[in-house]
Amino acid sequence: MNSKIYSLATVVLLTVLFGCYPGGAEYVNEYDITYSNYDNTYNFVSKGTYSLPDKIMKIKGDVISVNPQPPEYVKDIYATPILAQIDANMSSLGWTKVDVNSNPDVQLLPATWESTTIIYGGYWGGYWCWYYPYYCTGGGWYYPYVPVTTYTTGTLVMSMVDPNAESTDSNRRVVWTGAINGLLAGTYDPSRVSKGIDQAFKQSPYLKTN
Amino acid sequence: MKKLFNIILAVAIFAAAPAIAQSTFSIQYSMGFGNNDVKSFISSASFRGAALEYRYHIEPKFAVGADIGWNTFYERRAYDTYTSGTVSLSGVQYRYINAMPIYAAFDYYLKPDEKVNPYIGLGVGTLYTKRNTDMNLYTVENSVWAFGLRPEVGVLVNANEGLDIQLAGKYNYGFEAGGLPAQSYFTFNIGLVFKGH
Repeated sequence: MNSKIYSLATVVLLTVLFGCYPGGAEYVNEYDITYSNYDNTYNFVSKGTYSLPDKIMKIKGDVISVNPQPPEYVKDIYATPILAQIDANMSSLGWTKVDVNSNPDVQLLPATWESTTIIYGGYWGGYWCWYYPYYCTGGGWYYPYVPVTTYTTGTLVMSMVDPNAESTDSNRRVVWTGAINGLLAGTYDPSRVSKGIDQAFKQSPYLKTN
Repeated sequence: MKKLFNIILAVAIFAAAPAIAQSTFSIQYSMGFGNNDVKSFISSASFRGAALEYRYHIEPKFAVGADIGWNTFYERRAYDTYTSGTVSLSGVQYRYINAMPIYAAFDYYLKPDEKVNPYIGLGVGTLYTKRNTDMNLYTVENSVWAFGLRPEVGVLVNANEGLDIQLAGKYNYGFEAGGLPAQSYFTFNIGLVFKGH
C-alpha cells in the first residue's frame, strides 16, 4: 500500500515540477530591447548641429568582410518614417539638422542588420564611404567606449559620429550609439521600431543641447 | 537543469532503496518565500519546489540523515530601463533563481511515540544558487556554491504503520559567496514519510 503511495507521490511531484518549469517571453515584442551607450567625456551641450542621411544602410552577412561590397538600403517606405522619427527626437533635444556639407557638429548614421552580426570595433564604419566618400580615406571610426560587439536578428543601430574628432589613424569618434534589437516577426511592425527609437533617445538625456 | 534532475533522481533512488530498520525516507512538495537579497531580486513566492530527505534514527528521539531540495523562483519584470555606467538597456526582464540546498541533517523528535510528533532540526551543508537575468536572447548568469545552514521546525502525523504525513517550515541560509551576497529563503513543505520495517 505504502509503496504504491510512494510511487504515485514521486510521479506526481516530478511531473508537476518539470511540467511547470517557468517560461520566458511569450510574445515576440517582449524580446525587444533598446541599448544606448555614449562617450561621457564628450561635451554634447556645446554642440548643436547634426546631419542625417536620407537612407538607412542595410548590412547583410554575419561578419563584415575586409573588402565589403556596396551596401543595400532599406526601402524608402520603411526608412522614411524611421528617419523622420530620429529627426523629431533630435529636434526635441535641441539639435538642428543641417546638410552634411555644412560642417555639422555630429553625423547620425543609421544602419540595420537582419542577421547575427559581429561588429569589430569601428570596422564597419568603412561601409559609409559609399555615402560619404571621405570615410574611404580613413579606416572608418573608433569608439572611445566599449561598443556592443554582437547584434542579433533585427537590429537598427544609430551611430553618432563627430567627423571633426579624428584619431591619429584617421578614424572618427563615435560619441553615441543607440541600438534597437528584436526578433524579426513575419510582418514588419513599425510600432516596435518607433517605440524603440523613442526609447533610445529617452534613455539618453545627456544628448540634450542648449 | 538536466544535471540537477539527475542528482535529484539519484538521491531518490539511493534513499528509497535502503528501506531498512530505523530509517525513513521523505518526499516533499516545497513552497519557497524569498528573504533579503532573494526577495529583492524576485519578490514572487515560488510554488515550484521539492525536497527529499533520508533519516537514520539512532534512537527514537534523534535522527541523522541527508537532505536535498530544489526551489525555482521566477518573475517577469515589466519593461524598464536599467543603467550601468554609460550603458542603458531597456526591455522586459525575466528573472530566475534555482536554489538547491544539500545538507547533512540532525533532527530531534519531541514525542516519537505519539500520533502527532513535533520535531526540530538543523541542516549543515551547501546551498547552490543559480541566478539568471534574461533580456532579449541574452542571459546574465551567476551560480555559486555557498556554505549553508537550515534550521527547521515540523511535525509528523502518523497515518499508518509505515507512513507519516510531514509538515515542515525551513529557513535556508547560504552565506555570501562568489560575488553573491547571502541568499536566504523560507520554505513550507508538505511531505510523506515512508518508514522502514
